[in-house]
Amino acid sequence: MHTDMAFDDADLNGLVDGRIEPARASALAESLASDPESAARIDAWRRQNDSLRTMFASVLAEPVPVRLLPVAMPPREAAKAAAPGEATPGRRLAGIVATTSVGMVLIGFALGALASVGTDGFGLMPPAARAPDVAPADARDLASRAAEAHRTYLTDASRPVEIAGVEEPKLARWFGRRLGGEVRIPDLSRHGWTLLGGRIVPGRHGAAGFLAYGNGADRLGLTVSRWAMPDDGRVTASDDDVPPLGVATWADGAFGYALTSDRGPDWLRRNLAPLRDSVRAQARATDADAASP
Amino acid sequence: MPGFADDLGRLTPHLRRFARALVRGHSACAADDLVQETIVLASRSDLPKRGPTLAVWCFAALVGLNRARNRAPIAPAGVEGGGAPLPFMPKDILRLDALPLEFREVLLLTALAGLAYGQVADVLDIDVSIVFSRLTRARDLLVKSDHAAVGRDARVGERIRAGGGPSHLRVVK
Repeated sequence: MHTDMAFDDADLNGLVDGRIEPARASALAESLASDPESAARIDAWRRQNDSLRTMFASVLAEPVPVRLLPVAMPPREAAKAAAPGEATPGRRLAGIVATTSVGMVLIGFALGALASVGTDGFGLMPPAARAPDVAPADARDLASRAAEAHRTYLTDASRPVEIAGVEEPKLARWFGRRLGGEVRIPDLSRHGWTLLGGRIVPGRHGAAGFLAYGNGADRLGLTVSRWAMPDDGRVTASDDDVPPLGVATWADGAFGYALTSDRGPDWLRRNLAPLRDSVRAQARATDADAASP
Repeated sequence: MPGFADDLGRLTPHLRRFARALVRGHSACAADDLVQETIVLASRSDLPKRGPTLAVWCFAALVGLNRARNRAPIAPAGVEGGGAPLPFMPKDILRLDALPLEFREVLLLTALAGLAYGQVADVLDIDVSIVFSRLTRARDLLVKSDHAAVGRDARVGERIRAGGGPSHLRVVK
């Protein structure tokens, strides 16, 4: 029965785009096995898809030119971002976003680097199958582990970290060894956050690194995990805590990142971009250094 | 409408990539012009603007703006600004410019922007069966024009240059 099944344009294109029911796909694949000409055609379509994505992959990762940043921010958000009386570092960061050059503020929203094409769309919202506020499993997992690490270790007054920030090279070597790959410890002092230190924590894909930053009594946690592919730039509130922690996850290269803040989700939402961009830029600087010593 | 700026911000890199592939000669400047106009339109308009609706709306606006521009005289080349050259390998170069616009639109919305077929139909305001037939034509045509070009000229980088006037595409490595 498999050979006399009729396949139409919807099937052929669906196979190449991964938008076809699995049963139908395997029936089609079976029929292609005995039809070299059609198989070659489908193959060429597939290569074309790959080439297309490779060709324009860099555009997705480029910093977005200033003129393309959302100009017409709704008044409510704009007012919130610049609200006086808000914690001063928040205001300072808002100033940084507004005034630094494009090169400094990389407003990049690359989704998992090159692999963003496909069903997950734009990290906005997903095809009907996914509920609007549900992040992919990896991102959810990373977010909840990061929140847990934050509330376990950063509430510990006597020993929040294993290796102190002053021993940064040692910390970087430890992370590199455990995470398998070069890990650069981001310096966020430009944003008012001092590195307190870090430790290894359990992650979904093996060991993860947990970094602690302090600004007065406030704490910022940065969890670095291998192979996770979190949804980009989503800020969630971890409601188990009072007041709730803000948690944001994103992917960059081989690592997934989660930023946790006890200043809360609103603060993190407003200040995520510069912090994330700083982390990204520093991780990439390492790559560049490694490439051209 | 909190979240709108976030959504639009997250969508912008995807709009840029799509526009870059869509415009003639893959001009970074022309592509970003289209994206900028799209963003301005989206910010002014009163349509529901979250999630997939926003994406479909923006891609539709961008496609419309590009069609309008294609009917107008082309701006003189050489005034490039913003956007790095595409750092792709020669073997990846596809002759997208050789595709008629309506085929290019369907192919790029599907394969590059990653929209579902139904969304592509919404963006272009056509029936989904037309999406499939155009997609098939587009893919076959592009394979054919690619093969033809390889036969004509072994230097892939040269052939792009010959096709599109002064080239801003730089082949690295």
